[in-house]
Amino acid sequence: MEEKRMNEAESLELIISMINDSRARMTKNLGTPFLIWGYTTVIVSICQAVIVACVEDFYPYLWGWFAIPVVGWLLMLLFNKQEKTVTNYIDRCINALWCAIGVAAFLLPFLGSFEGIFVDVILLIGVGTATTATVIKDKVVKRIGYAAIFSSLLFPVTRWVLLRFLTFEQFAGRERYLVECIIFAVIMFLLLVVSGHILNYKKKCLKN
Amino acid sequence: MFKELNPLLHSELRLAVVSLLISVESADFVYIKEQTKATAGNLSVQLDKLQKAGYIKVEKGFKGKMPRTTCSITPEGVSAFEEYVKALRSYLGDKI
Repeated sequence: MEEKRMNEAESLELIISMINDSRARMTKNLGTPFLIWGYTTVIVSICQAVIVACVEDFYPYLWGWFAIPVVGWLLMLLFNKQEKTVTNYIDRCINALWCAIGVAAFLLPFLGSFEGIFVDVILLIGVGTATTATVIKDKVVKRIGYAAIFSSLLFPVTRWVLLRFLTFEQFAGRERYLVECIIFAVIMFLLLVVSGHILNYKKKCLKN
Repeated sequence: MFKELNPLLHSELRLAVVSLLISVESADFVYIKEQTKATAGNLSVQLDKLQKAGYIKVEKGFKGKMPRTTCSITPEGVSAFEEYVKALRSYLGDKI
């Protein structure tokens, strides 16, 4: 690009193209954090389900859920190294949103019982995903976020159904917990892993 | 009545730089160079002109051991850009 004089239409075209280019960059690098947290959460949830199914006294293994923030952050440090050549308001808003969600999700186990924790986490991540997708104007991921928020209704429905088939001991013990672990893993897979692949696919298309 | 187009912005590279910076908080020299496909020398000259006019802020620092130049638009730059777009509107009228 040289220092040449342009006519008015060319000026306008240049402004539009530069603004569009920088907007397109905004959706870059968003898929990787979704995939990192998504796969970590799904794998830890499946491990928890296996432990609950196989180990008699599974309660000490509940600490295993804290593997999500530990492994997640390590993987973020390893695989999410982004060259910060440009900062924009949208990146800053999205980072601030996910930081707040991360802190809230980490504090949840300390705030009371584990009873409703799956629903709380799904709601938090669902709100984060729907908001992020709205900001970056991705309709598919936005719908996934809202679908996840509504899918939290599956938990009370499942409990209602299980109460019909299980004894109270089974309901209060491992069986219900096992079913909820599996539902949680499936919802997190759809919410984070599928969204992450969609965002990465779109990033790839944008590069080409 | 046609408004006069700001001569400082009515140049391809300077307008590209300001348009780029208007939609971001800050951008480094390498990013601007890549986006505008300008040569380093030419870009430096144009950035200097924009900085002297008070339209952009240029900060020089280091990232590790590598020098890094970061640019951001100033409130004066935003006003000048808005005025420029208004003036463009007066030329192009219903085409925008």
